Amino acid sequence: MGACTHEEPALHDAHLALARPVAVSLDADGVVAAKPPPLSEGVFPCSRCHLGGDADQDGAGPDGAPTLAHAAHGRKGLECEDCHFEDEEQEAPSIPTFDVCEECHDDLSADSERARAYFDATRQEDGTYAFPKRWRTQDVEPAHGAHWDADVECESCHGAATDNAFTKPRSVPLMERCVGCHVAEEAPNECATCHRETTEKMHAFTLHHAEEQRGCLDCHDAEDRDTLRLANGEPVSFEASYRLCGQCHGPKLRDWRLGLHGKRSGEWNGRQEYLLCAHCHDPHRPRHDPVEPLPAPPRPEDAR
Amino acid sequence: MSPNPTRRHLLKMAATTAALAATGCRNETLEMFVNTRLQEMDPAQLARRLAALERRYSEQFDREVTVAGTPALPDVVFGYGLDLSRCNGNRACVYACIEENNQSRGSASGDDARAIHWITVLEMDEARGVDLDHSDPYYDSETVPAPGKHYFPVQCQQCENAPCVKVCPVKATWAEDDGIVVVDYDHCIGCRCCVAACPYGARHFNWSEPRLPADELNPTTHVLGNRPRPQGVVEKCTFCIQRTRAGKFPACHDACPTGARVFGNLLDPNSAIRQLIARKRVFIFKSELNTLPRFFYFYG
Repeated sequence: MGACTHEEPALHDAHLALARPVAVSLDADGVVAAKPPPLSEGVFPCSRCHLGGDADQDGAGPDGAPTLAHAAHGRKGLECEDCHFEDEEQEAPSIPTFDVCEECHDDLSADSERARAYFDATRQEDGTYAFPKRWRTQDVEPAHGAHWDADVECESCHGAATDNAFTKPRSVPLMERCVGCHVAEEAPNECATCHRETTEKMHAFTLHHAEEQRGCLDCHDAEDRDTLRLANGEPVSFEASYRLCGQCHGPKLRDWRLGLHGKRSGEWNGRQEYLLCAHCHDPHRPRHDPVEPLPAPPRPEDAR
Repeated sequence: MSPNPTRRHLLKMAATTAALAATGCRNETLEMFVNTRLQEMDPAQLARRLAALERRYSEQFDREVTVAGTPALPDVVFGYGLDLSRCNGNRACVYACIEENNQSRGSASGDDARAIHWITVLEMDEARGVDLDHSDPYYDSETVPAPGKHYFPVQCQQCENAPCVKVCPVKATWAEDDGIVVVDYDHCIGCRCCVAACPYGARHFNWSEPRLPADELNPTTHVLGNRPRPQGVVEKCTFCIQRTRAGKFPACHDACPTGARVFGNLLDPNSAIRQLIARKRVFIFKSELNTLPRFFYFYG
């Protein structure tokens, strides 16, 4: 995948929250027993932005707010363009305004409980509605026109409209679905093809970590962005990321376990704290930048 | 013929001593006056000396200062390892050491060039390896590591066969049971023989009255380590004796941002320092001098 860019500032915070020293104890072999902090609620989960897994399209979103029951609309015989296109001239689908909803939902008191809950949750103070674009990474704006020009049907990305209802897979594709199709169809496959508003914003990074040989999903789990994966597919938590790093950096992992690589603090004969690989090395760009040294010692000949 | 001035001085001192004793002066003042060696003190004497020092420093710096006399821990000999491939020459260790160990920030009269650093980081050419003839402790590049350079921090190597201890004419310096070479500041006569004898440049002389602002003082001190020193005595790295005998790592170890430093008990086969010696190719500095350092350099 080559250069990958990232604009999500929250991930930065998650990394910072992880970058706390971790209490460990040494067992008889001098091997550390990893007891790092869990990815608690205070840590921003990757899945907030990078959706993975098999989330319930008609259930609650990751923030607990209700989501629109697309399947219910489909079962009523509605087509995508009935709500997402105002007219035939419109080039890309849009999130409808409440005017569109009102054509059917003219009496909210007669609506189902689910529908009322959705409107209640999205109603603004001024009486308008803000329907969230929850199910997408915020920096991806798919070029619908380009897809139609390539004769890609709505269903190819947004799920098979069996019985004219949205079914799984989800109505917004996982990234690997995009990538798989782009690879198969030999479409442009650079990250920046889809993730466009990247470099200007916030925390942009470039992958400088054997980028000729490796890509995002060699370390990140495609299904669950809150975990990492080993080369054999075994999921690994961020807290145990040293196992992932150790796949290539075996001798360094051995030295780290012995206390010869990495930094330890605490007591030389008791409780110690250690840092994980990613606490010191940015995993996307592990080489350290030069730093400014502290002042040189005085020269004896300068003494008065 | 006038009396011998030296003799007169001696008589005067004896009279003062007698007067102090006669006027009910505290014992500790008398003990400090006649300067019993720390090594020879019995526990009660040492406790009195420590209390007296605490009072003196607390008064001098107008804040509470503790002076510990913690003896060496049983079955412990300290060893230090330093990964030269990871040191990037940022000098964080140097200044952490100064703050921890109350080195002089310059002379009391304001000469900053009299500042004392216990750790010297040498910049060397990568192409030459460890070559002292082409090393520079005064490197001043904007960023480190500078291209083509590597860095070699030097501090007291806590030699088992220490030349500095051998040359001291008054036995004011010795190796403790845990291997730390210490100085009795009250007994040092300032002859600087040890400074000349040390092949590592690790001993430093207080040429002027040290400047140590009270707000920069580290009040947790050890009598053989970082307690404030007077003018005219030699001082040196003690592996942070006040910290390491309390279980902590030395300050330079904790300050190193690259984690290049390894510290532990040489008598414990599971300690990091023993694992280092067993598994890495380590070398000691100036091994041809047979000083037997307890400081091990390696390339991780």
